Amino acid sequence: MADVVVRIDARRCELHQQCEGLSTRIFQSRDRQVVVGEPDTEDIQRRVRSCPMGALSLVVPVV
Amino acid sequence: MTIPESDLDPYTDSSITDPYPLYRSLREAAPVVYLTSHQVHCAARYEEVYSALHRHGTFVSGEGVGLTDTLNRAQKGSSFTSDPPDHAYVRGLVARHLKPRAMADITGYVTSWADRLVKELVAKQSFDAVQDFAVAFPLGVVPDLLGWPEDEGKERLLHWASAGFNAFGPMNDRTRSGLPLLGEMHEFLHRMSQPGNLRAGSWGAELVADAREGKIEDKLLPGLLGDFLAPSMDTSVSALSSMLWLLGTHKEQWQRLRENPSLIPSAFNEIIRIESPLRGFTRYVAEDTELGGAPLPKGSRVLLLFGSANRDERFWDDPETFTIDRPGVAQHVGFGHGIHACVGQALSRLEGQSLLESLIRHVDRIEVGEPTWRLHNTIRGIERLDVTLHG
Repeated sequence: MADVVVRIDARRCELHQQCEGLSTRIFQSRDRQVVVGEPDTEDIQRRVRSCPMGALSLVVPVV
Repeated sequence: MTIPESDLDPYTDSSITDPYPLYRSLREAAPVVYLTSHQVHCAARYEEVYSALHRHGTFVSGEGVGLTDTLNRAQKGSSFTSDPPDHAYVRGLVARHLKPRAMADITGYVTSWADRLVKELVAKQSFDAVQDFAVAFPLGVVPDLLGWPEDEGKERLLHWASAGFNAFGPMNDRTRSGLPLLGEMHEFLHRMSQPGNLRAGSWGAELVADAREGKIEDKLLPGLLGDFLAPSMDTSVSALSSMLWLLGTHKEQWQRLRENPSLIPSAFNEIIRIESPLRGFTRYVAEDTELGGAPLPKGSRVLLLFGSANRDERFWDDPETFTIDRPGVAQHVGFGHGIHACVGQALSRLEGQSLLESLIRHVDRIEVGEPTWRLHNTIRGIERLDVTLHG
């Protein structure tokens, strides 16, 4: 199973912090994205969906 | 997929007083149903509401977010009735003072206000949750931040806000009775858009100054001031009165919150989820599309029921139960979602969470009576609730 990538639309993020620090982690990353292993996907999906602005997105690479 | 028709009507007195059985029936019927009573499509399940809110290029707001075409035309141009690219500009003008980062500047002011109010109410012991608690807070804080003139009665604001929200519903008696108030609010906002009427240094005065310097189009000003005022009133009053009711009727949850104040943000989200202040808004369908497999033609309109989505058993575990540490509660759509998500939600969270902190500091037990529910087209909220705070 492939890892998934979480990205952020920085223009849309208002820092409401409903994503439990995921946006902060992405902003601190070098290429504005974090890679998440498969076992964490459900938790990450929940946190992505918790962004009220829809600024976070989950990218599942084709394998 | 054929869209089933339903004669259920979300705007009768009984379905406003207790909307949840009707919401459940709509969810069970199909992902999208056609409400014959108002000739509008309706999505009541979480996935479809969430999806439509995020597909803002198809489910647009610029044609209005209410049920009535005439009033939709009249309400164009605000941050929540505009579409990209204009929307980002208009929202940005309002949002600059309302984003979470901006809340740092007013946190001390809001928390001390909250503490003073709760201490007064503990001393008073018995009071009405709506007039003495829920109304007092937004009415005391928001107009002041906006620069409201001291010689103008703030009470009118509540009536204006209520009329504005009723007008997102059908053209029924509730909407009609508020129309003169909307005219009054319109006149007032135009007057406040003139230099010197709002308190110097306030958020509103800053907008007026920006317009004088040509940074903002003059014609946008009344709508922008309205964007600050109206949405922050009724929705906050609803959330704050429901807060006392829910904590008073779920004593074990109140005790858990007192024992673990780190749950305050989650508890506030759960309050918004289970008693969502906004019943829902509509979207105009800008192109032939589908929602939950249901075909929707260009030019149709769909009512998105936030309050129903937040209790959808397909998405939430045990959705009728109030649980302050509900896993994943931040996924609720009580503030809307996507680019049109409530621009004042950070202020709402600051208000609600500050009051919860103060209640934990000063109150042992919350005793509540039976609530009377408001008969309102768009706001789900309590009309009156007797409360006693035991310090």
